[in-house]
Amino acid sequence: MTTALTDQKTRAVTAPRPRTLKGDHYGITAAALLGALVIVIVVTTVLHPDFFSGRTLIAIGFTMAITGILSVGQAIITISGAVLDLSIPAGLMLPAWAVATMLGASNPLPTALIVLIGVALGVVWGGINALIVTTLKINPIIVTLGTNFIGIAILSMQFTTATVPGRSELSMFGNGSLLLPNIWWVMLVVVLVAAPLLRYTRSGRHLTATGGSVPAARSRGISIRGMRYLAFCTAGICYGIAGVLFAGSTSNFNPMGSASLLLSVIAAVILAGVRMDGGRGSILLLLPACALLATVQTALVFFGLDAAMQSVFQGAILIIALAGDGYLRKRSTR
Amino acid sequence: MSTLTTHRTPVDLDIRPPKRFAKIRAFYGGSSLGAVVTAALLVAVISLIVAGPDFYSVDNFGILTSYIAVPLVMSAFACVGLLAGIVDLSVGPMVGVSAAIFAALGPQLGFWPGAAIAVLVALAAAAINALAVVRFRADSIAATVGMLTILSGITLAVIGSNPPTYIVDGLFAFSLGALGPFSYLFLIAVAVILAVAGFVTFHKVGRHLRAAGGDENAATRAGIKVGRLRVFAFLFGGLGAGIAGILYIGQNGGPALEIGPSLTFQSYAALMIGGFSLVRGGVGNPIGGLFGLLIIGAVGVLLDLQQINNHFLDVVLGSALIVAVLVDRLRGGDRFE
Amino acid sequence: MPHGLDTTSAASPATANGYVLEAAGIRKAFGANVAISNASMNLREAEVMGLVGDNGAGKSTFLKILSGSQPADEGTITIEGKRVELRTPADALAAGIETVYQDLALVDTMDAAQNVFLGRERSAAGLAGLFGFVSDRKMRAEVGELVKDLGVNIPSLRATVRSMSGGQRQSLAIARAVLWGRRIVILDEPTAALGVRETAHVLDLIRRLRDRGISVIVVSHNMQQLREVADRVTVMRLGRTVTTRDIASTSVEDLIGLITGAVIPDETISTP
Repeated sequence: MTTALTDQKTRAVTAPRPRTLKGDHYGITAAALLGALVIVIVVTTVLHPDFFSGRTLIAIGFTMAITGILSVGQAIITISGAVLDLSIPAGLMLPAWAVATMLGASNPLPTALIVLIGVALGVVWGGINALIVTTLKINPIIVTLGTNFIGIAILSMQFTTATVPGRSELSMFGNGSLLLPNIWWVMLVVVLVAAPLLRYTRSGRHLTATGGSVPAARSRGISIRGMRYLAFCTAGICYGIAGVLFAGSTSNFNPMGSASLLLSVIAAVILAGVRMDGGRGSILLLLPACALLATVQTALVFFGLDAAMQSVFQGAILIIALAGDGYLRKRSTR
Repeated sequence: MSTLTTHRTPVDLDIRPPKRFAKIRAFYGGSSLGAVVTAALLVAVISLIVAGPDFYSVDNFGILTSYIAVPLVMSAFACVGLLAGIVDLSVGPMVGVSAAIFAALGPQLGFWPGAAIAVLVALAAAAINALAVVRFRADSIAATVGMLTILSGITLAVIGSNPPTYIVDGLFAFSLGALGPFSYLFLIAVAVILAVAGFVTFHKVGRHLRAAGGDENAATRAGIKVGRLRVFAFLFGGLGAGIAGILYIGQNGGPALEIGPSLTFQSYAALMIGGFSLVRGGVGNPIGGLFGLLIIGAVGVLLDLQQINNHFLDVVLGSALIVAVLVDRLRGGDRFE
Repeated sequence: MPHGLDTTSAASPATANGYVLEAAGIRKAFGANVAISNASMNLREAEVMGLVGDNGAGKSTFLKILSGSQPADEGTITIEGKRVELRTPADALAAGIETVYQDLALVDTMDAAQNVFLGRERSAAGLAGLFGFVSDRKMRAEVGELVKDLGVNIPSLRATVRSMSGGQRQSLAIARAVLWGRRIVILDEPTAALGVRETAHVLDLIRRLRDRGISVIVVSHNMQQLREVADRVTVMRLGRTVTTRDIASTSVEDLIGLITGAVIPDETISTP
């Protein structure tokens, strides 16, 4: 209720400042992220020499892939001015569960069709959120807070543990690697496709403009409702892909299994310099941001942190990232 | 001048003696009455259909009042934050962490030291929230999602695979006691609600909290220290969560992993039925929250008695939250864009 | 007599040179951007001072400094002969300066009486008052007297401010300033968003303030209105206060010339 929830009103009267690439400090952000990444690798390697290995790289790749794809979706939503999608855990779990169920059927559909259905379910999930946001005109943070809670509860009624058949094509692909895990390469493709789409297409421009100033975008004839659907459904494609890959790379999982991903995703988006008040941010910078977070998370295992402490750590990173974002926004509005 | 104003609507200065029950109305919180009554009727009708008239037994009411006592104490403190314009999603997990720490330390250190440490941990979590949200202007919902995860992690680490048990004899016996259908704990919770209601309605600081939530700029210009009040609201919520955790152990004898986000949802859905708002501060009255929690609690008891999957309650809570935000918007809250 | 009508007696006689407020050599910069470089103003007791200038001339920055929402970098502010430091809105309030901002600073969710007394609530009687409890009854009675006395037309003291019209909200904000502004009331574009009838009412309110011995600073773009209501007018241009004139001896054309720089002032403002 501070900042993001009330910004909508104040943003209407302050014209967005013209911004150049230089003004957004993308270069500095990238350098800082890569610098931090090098420091984490060096420090961990000095203290635990076995950290520096091909196996670690693969592990980081797996962690980074799912977070990376999800963070593309989250970044699109944030840049379009819909602040945050807290329903990511449900948005990923729905396709993941559907895919696992379909693969486990006695007479499974062709894998390509299953993947397609999985991605489509992600889009449906995004569409539901957009529908509620646009028709009820409620802040997306609260809508997605509620839909996530509902979605996970409904999924919990459907299954307690989902098992993906290890011999399925999807599992073979999901667990395989080519230098880096296969799913990491998928993530790379998603990022490399999404970045120019957001930056250089007409729709991408409109999304960014909506995030910068809703009244300005509306006065230029951009349909805000349409942009909300576009943002949530595009994000839904990312959730669908992530869900399919999650099912493909995890042998069994429970409905709560994706809860902790949300924090890494939001933290990655903020670390990549996407401002919570919308209208600016770079998709490409998600790569170093997610790499840093995945490396830190993997390094923590070498320092002997258990699962409980991992979540403490993730929560702390999120709070620090949000505080930094809030502080920068406060300074820039002066 | 008077000639200019004569064709306007007649002047009604309303300085006549106040209407009957005006004080009670003001105390109750005005426009939330409709929502509470509607929700109550809805639950009453549904429970009649699902469970039949037997549902309205003294026994079931006893179950209801002891079921909602701890959430009620937590809500009484947490609603001050909503009034001041902050949303702390981590209050539920704060109750969980306080309960876990109290149960783990109490048997070794004794009641008071264990209780003090549990409350201090909850307060520390609230202080970190306050630092991030008030000082650094992080979004309160997102930042407290982070705190929620931290606290769940700590609770998991404390409880581990071997949940501690801690029966505080006096407290346990007390929490079993009841005055007719009203459990003692419930009566205490109601007393706390009334005290907080009086505080936020008639006390200067309560008035300022409302102003800080209603319009931050206007409050600042009136010389009110909005930041300081919000820090106070965070810490107040943390204190309540700490105490609620200890009461939980007193009632149940051991902590549970489940008390966490669900408890936050339960409490906030109830507060919103009672007229509070997640998107704007300054509105709502704790007594409305009491009725909201009675309604939510009735749904919980109903689902429990019908042996319906308890995830179904989460679906109801999530939907109630969204509907409540919608109702709040129709009642005068800001719409998104 | 209710408290609300007491305000004139609280204003102590002005100092020897007759000025309630003297601001001299005020400078304020935001980074490299100098908003005002040399702003001065002398305000007499019970006068209405207009403050005019083109957009970007520094009016609102000057206003913010006088109302304490931004501290000045340089310069002195003297109130009734005493040097004051205005670093926060609370400092200005304590010095007897009330400001009615364009956004009015009313809390939508509260009613008229609660808004008027926001931050200075009347305590309840007896022990409860000592513990910080407030009395809505007392406050409502006082505000009722005040709005009747000022001829302010609001639907109900119990209704939340949200339900009021623009003119009613403006009048309420001014009424609040009257109740608390012991010496000086600053009005920022008080009629900008109002209709003809409501504007007339607000101008009338400003005259009443002066009649109560309060000094008023009015920022306005409307020269005609200023000629109706102000005694003197201070012109700002490019971050400086270029002149102060008696409104009676200055034509609207002259004022516009001074604002745009077409007319060069022939005297400085520091001489009375």
